[in-house]
Amino acid sequence: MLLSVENLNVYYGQAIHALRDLSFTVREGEIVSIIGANGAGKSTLMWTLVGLLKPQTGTITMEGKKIRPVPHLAVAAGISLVPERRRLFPNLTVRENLRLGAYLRRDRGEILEDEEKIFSLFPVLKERLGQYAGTLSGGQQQMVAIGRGLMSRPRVLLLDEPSLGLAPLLVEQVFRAVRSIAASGTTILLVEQNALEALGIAHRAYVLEVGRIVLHGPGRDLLDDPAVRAAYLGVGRRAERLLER
Amino acid sequence: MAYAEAIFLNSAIYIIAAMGLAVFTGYTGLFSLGHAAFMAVGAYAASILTYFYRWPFLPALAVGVVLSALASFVIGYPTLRARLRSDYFAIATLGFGEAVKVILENFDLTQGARGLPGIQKLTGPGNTTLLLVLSIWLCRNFLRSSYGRRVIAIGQDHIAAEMIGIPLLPNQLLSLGISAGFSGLAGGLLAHYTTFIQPSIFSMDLSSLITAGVVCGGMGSLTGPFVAVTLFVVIPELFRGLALWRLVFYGMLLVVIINWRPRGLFGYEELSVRNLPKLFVIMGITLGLTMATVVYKALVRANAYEAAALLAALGAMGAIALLVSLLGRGVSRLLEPVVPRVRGAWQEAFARFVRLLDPLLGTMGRKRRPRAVVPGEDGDGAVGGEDTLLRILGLRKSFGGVVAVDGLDLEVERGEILGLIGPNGSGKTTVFNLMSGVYPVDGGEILLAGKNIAGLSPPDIVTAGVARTFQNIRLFGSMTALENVTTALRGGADYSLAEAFLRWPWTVWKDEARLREETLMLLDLVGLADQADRTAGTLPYGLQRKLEIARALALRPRLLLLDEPAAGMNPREAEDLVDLIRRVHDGGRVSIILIEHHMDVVMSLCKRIAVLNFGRKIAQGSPYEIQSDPGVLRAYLGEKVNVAVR
Repeated sequence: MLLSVENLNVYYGQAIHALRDLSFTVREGEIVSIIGANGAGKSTLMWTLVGLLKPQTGTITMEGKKIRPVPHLAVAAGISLVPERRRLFPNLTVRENLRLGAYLRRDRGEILEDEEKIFSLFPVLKERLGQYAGTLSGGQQQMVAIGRGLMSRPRVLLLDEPSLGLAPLLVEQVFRAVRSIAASGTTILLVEQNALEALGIAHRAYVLEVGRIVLHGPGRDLLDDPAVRAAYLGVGRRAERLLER
Repeated sequence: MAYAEAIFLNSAIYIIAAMGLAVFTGYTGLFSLGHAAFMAVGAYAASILTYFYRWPFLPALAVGVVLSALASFVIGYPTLRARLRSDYFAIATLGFGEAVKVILENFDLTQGARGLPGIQKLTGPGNTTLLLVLSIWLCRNFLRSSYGRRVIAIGQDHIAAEMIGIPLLPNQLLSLGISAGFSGLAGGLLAHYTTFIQPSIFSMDLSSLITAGVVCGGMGSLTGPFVAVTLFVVIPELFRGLALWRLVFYGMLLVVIINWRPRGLFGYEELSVRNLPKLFVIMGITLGLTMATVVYKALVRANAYEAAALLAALGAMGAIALLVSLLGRGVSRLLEPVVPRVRGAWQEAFARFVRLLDPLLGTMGRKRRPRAVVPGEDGDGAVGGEDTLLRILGLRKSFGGVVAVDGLDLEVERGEILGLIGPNGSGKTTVFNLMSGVYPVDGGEILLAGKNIAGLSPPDIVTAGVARTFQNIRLFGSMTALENVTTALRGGADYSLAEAFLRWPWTVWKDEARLREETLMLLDLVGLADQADRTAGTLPYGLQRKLEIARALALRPRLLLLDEPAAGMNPREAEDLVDLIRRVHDGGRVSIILIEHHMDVVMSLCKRIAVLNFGRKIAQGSPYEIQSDPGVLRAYLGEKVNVAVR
């Protein structure tokens, strides 16, 4: 078991119980998706996994080793978050943003190698190396964010809504990139509103409702589940067609 | 006794100044380092009137208040009109403060650097208490009024504020004027308490003390500055007995406060039963410090070791602070059920009293101005007699060398929902920003019902009938959902500024009730009625988007610009949003331009879609035509997408 989470409870203040007794696991090499409505606690979960929020109870372990809820320790343990809405350093260049992703690493040669890997994943970034990240288009910014996340050489990459605000063509590109990142051996934990794509790409998926996991199983099975379809896929004919494919 | 009175008067005077400043700095976020200058204006004006002209005290103070407020326009108008940002504005006020000092030093009437000695001692506990209570009441009334809400909105997000039709300059000047007025009042009181003033008293140190009170107390609170300033005045006095340890303790305390409450003692909150314990903790620490000094002094006098005395003092302090804090928790729990009932009873009694006076005062209100015409409802079809609501001709905009919008032509029929799609960076949001006046237009025309709105100020564009939402959600985060929408209501409140200050029941109450009702209807429309009193910033993302739509609708637009309303929603939620937009569209009473990447949403709402790429329109037509256009597929949709038209 690469990443495992047990009985996680997170509160905002005293009133809001955002995550309730959450437990789940991610195996090496998997793509695991988490879907759920707005406010279900998906981003809260991501923030908790990297130590930005402190759980009241519960443990997060990487290969059996417990991780203290401190962001740089989480990164050092091999967890890296590509946050919702990207959160780049807008006044730094693309190269500087990428290099900061490798902040904890000291192996300069390999950092350069990893940079090249990112360029082969997103060739457009190589052309934009000296440009300020804040002046890139939304799609390019998302590529930088994913690149920055990869630069710490994570064992598991957390992606929080990577398709948010992207044109359909770019959504396609981003998911293609996610697949190839997974294929090259990095485990992926994906949170998405685009439930169709998220379930389509996932080996396994969890459904989150009001801070609880209510359902879990292989991505394709959840796509076929009538309850999931009613709640997250809508009744659009597009979903039907995707299922027929 | 005289000692206690001195502490009280000192605190009260600085509290008045700090609460006044809170109305400006606390809510608009603009820092002032020159408010001592306004205290000086008030002090000199009042003193000269009582000293040379033998005026009675209160009228002299009133003149000081008015002159201070007027003086604030001298610095406020040029700086705020130039939109100086926070830090530059602070420097400008700093310069202003020094300039006023120099003027006073070289002016005959003020007797130059010698100052005015022998002012009558007219400030006493009685009139100071009265003025303090009055100041609190006035500040609170202002902030709860529609005028105050506008100021708060500007402080929260000035772009969003402009986009709902709030002009920045007059509202910022108003709050600056109010803060200067209260500083003037404090200055007048100070002069007639110390009986001697000279220009050097009104130094930057004094300005920073007041500003520090606002910051440590909490930006966005009146209670905060009140408590913080009291501490500033009281605590150094308490430490007097600690001799050399005094400054160490004072410094430690400030560090503790800032660590414990990085957003100030009270943040955005006012005093309530719920945060009563917080006040008790502060009181406990203060009391503890008092005891600590007493214990320390006694032990030193009894020839104890210094270290032992210090330890005992610290122990005493901790014990008392803990006791009082626990007491606060108890009191809060005890009062929790009682307070709402008492408040309800009081409000009912007061309402009855108001009704009793109704025949006498109810008719006294000014003549109501006619309500603004609601564009969505007026028969504007007459203009030009055409079906085109919006016609954009040759619109151009470039940033540096990058052409963002390149000769765009676009039309929106009356009652239509037009879809605007295109790759990221194709200029869609820039078009919205040009239409709503965020950026000046480089060229071209934007004709709304035949009238060119290109180049108008954002509030004028709102008046013309265009409202928008934002891709990155721009709500007034610390206001409630209700207040967010109320602030935007077209026409706004119907009462005058004077009535707002007095919270005049016959106008303010009635009008606020009406605004609340209108707001609740809008919240109900977007399905947020049950969240009305929740702080907007704590709402989940999807609900924030809906709240933004409600806020835009409050402006009664005839053209609504929605910028990616379905971003961050799953397909199911996006379907709900489609229903919501249909309700908002209301059979064509409101025309809509919709920027959206969720193709399901676009295809099911829009009969006509325009596609942008590199700032140009590359295609336009029905959903079917768009989906079969090879250029669109290549630039935007990709191969695999084709969406059923419902």
